[in-house]
Amino acid sequence: MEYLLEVKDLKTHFYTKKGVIKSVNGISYGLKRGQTLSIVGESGSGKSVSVLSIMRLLPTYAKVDGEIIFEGNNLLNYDDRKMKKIRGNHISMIFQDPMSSLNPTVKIGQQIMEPLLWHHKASKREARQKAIQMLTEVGIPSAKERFDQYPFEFSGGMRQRVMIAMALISEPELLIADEPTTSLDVTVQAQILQLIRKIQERRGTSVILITHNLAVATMVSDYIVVMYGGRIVEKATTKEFLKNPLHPYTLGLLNSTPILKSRKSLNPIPGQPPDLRKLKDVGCPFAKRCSKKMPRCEVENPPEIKVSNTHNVYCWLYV
Amino acid sequence: MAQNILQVENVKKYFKVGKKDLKAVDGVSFTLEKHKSLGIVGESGSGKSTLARLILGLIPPTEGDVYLLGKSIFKASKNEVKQLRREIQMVFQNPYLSLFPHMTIGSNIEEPLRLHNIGTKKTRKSVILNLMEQVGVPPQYYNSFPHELSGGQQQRVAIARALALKPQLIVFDEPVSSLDVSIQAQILNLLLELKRKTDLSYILIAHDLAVVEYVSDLIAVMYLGVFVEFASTEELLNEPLHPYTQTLLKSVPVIGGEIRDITISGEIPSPINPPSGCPFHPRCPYKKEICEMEKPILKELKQQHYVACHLY
Repeated sequence: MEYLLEVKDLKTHFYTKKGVIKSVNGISYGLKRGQTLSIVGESGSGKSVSVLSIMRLLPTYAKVDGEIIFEGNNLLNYDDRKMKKIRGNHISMIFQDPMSSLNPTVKIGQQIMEPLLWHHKASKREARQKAIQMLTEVGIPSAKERFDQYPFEFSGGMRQRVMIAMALISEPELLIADEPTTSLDVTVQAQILQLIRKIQERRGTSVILITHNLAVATMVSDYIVVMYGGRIVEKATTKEFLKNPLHPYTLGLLNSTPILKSRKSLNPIPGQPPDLRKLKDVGCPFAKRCSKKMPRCEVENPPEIKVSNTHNVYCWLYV
Repeated sequence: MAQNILQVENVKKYFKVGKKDLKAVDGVSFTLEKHKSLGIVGESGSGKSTLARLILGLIPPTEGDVYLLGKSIFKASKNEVKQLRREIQMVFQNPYLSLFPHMTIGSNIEEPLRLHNIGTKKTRKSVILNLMEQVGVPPQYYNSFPHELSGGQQQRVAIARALALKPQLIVFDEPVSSLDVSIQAQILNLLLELKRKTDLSYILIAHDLAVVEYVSDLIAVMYLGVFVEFASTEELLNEPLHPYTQTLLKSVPVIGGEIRDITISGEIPSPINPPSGCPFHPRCPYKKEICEMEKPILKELKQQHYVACHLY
């Protein structure tokens, strides 16, 4: 299967007054058509910045390097005008907080139609029809009446459904979901995850899911990428990831996550996540907190170990 | 018989919103024995934080009463209240907002001791350093300010401050939900350790059932201002009786698990406009006629296992 999206040695550095912040520091991964890839990591790991770099939704003091190959073209060579044709058309994104991503003064229906109208993909009447159809598809009852309501008239879960409808109306090849269920209650989270999966099966959309919740990642994705300190420490198919997790950070995350009815005791990772300003370019970003640290870990970059064709771990332990 | 540290009696809290009442807590009763930990789970809007504030006596109830060590915290005199306050402390979700930003870590932890005139400046310092050690904050942070610490360290400081008066009960309101997973586990282990080493009782309020399970002896499930189920942790997880608890258990994401079909739809209704009868009936797959008319009361169905549901 060919890749829909290939990210090669992506680096996103922020040039601030207090120094350079290397939020994303050389990551590579590929996403096949119709598949879901999860990027897992804690705050500051660079997971959100990595996808904002794909959408190019970054401030001017950010510098992006590497290659982002989408359907055979490097998006980093695109100018703003060309990127506008990609956003909301071929690649859509949904965010964590649906209230702050919807315009509170515009009716829901208008907002859902916008991608179609903006990209001249439909007439107003067609767009309206499609928006109502989309609202029904994402599970909003009495869509026709809801079309003319404002965001405040919707609950949190319903707003996230509206966001999904808006993201999918132009039938994008790729949907990026940045912590789409984090602000939702757990019963609603389950509903939204179910919805994303159903829509994906029906439409064959590829999905990148950003999450801090390892359990959510293993439940919805085909492929998992674990990030720490701006770099990938391990990537594998979900199957291999569950069967044979290798990187000490991955294991630390697994041992820190409480599992219902498991009665296991938690074995947290000592220390704190790194300060990206102070993190050095050489050495493993996780070395300071790693219980299996060796002298070379702090002075040499970890090698890429191919466990299989679809499982890579970046760690000196497995040389 | 074990001594009860806390007794909550049919406590209600209604807030006025326009002409309507927002029934944040609508009749909750329970007792907590000494050296036990109670976890309260519920979705946003279930009233769990309001209940915490009532237990601490931070807001007056519309009805009902809360007894700490046998004394009503709402009917006690000012002096008695001050004494009672020493026995109950709280830790909040956002540690940065609950610490004084202009005060050092040392003086933040010292504040309760100072307010209650305990020790002298000199003797307090050693008490504070002891507390910092107990919660795992290195002593070199004594003169640092909160913003210089990470979220996890700030939460440890907040816990140290709560421990300063050697209270018998601490209420933790979502203490780990703003923290990263690896740090969350550190704090949860700290709670377990405190319980093992001291005779502290605590109430933990959280939306994450797995977190609650890990640190609680008992679990209460809250929905629209009432307890719908209340039992020992083991009992509740292995034999959930209320349809809402059952759904909650199915909804928790599990590593390597499947997305399960959720039998309920919709979301928690607004407490300003609650449904008639059982608060859960609009979402309940087993709804009967009586559920729409009559509010079920919390009954002891099995020993120490309480459920509010017309099914039983």
